[in-house]
Amino acid sequence: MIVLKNICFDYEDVEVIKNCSISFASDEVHLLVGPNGAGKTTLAMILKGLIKPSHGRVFSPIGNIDIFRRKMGFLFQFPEDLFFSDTVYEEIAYGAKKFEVEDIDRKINNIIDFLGLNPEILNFSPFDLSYGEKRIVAFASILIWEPSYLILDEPFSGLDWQFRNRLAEVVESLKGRVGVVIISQELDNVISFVDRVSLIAGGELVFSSPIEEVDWDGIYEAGCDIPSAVRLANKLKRNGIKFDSNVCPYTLERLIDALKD
Amino acid sequence: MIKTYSLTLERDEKIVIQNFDFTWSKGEKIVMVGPTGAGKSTLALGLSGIIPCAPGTIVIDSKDIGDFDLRSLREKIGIVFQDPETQFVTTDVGREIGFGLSNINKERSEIKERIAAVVEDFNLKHILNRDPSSLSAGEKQMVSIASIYAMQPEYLIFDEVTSFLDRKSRERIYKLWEDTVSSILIITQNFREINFGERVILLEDGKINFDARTENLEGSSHFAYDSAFFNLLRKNKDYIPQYDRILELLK
Repeated sequence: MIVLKNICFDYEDVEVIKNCSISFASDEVHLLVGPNGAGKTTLAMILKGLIKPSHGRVFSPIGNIDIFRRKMGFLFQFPEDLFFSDTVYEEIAYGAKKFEVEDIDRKINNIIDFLGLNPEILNFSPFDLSYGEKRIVAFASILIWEPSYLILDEPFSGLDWQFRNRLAEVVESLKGRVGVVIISQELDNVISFVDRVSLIAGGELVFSSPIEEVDWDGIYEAGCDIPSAVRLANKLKRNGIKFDSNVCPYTLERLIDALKD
Repeated sequence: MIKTYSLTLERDEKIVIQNFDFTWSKGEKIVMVGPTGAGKSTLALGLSGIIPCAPGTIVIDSKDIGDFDLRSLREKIGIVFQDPETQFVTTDVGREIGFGLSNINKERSEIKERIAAVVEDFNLKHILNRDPSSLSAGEKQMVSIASIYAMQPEYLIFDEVTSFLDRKSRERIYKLWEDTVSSILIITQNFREINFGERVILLEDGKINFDARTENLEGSSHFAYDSAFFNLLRKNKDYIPQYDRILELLK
């Protein structure tokens, strides 16, 4: 568990984060939503320790925060901007060597296979890849050193459906073992395995709720998208179709169950 | 009209697009989809004259692309990049929007007018004096779209420009696509955006795999999910629509 308490962050006289207190469990998938410029990325950078808050503190009640941060992977919005190696293999191996990962060759091949990439890609320059391929390679270069926390900032942007689904499957497979923080405007890919949703708007934490208790109307009103199932459920309700309101239909499976009842 | 003749385009000495023949009529709104690595962005860079034809030709309104000077080419065709930061050159949002306009030699008064108009249209007033590099990805995306849109090119390419946008910002861009009289080419991975085109193209491995006017596709609205287009997408596993899952679950 990592706790951010009374965090403020100012940049160029703008209050980007305003007295925000929020915690991130080490076994949950935590979705951060909010309109553009709300401060989601800034908050994630404070969590990772890439920037210092103007006020407030980041700590872990169960250990040294620096140790948590060392094993915290951060997939940036444009991770490809950070590439520096001549080949994809070297790019992925760099992080692995830094974390003294054993049996690098086998692990790199496993990860490439796991992410659905053609092994030939290992010999390519990372700079020659398409936008989506670059994103996946950047993700592989984090996964190789088995992070205990993972921050994914708009991970689906630029990916086609095949890669989006693959990436979502990989993140889902980490659920329970890795603390995952996802910042995304696209919710359909992840909503089925998210444990907690927090809404950030205007630099403030509006709410942080377990998935079953999320105020979807609040998220919509803040200017964000909501899952397709919630949108569909709202339409059905408006058209007089009644279903069990105790079931929160944030996935299509849940919506169908609610309709069956 | 933009026409390509046996166009070949390379990126980093690799052929991405080969013998590509394509016509984009004036005023036409095209949506282009395709898997990652299909060559969509390379084609966009070629059509806008940023990377050279190697070989082949692009003719824009009866004039070879090579015969345009940079200023008149930018007035003719604009591109908004996937990564908005790649096009930023100034230190505040107002200057960023004005930069392209001054490069095409617009009068000072017109530059001011156009900046004011796009700031209003794109809701950028609250960030007008901010350094573009300090903005969030979604805000950067809005500024990059506004900067190109302010130049009012006749042909406008949007290369996955809504991926970082929140719902409200995306709706603003959708309205722009609906209202614009410019010819637009929307490259997207978001299948909801197909509805903004009169024509839909599926690009795969640098080739057009599907090209149809949406009105000719099956279905009562723009086109149905059981059309040849969607079946092709499913076959290639490019698209797993929510619609498919609903049908599957309802069975």
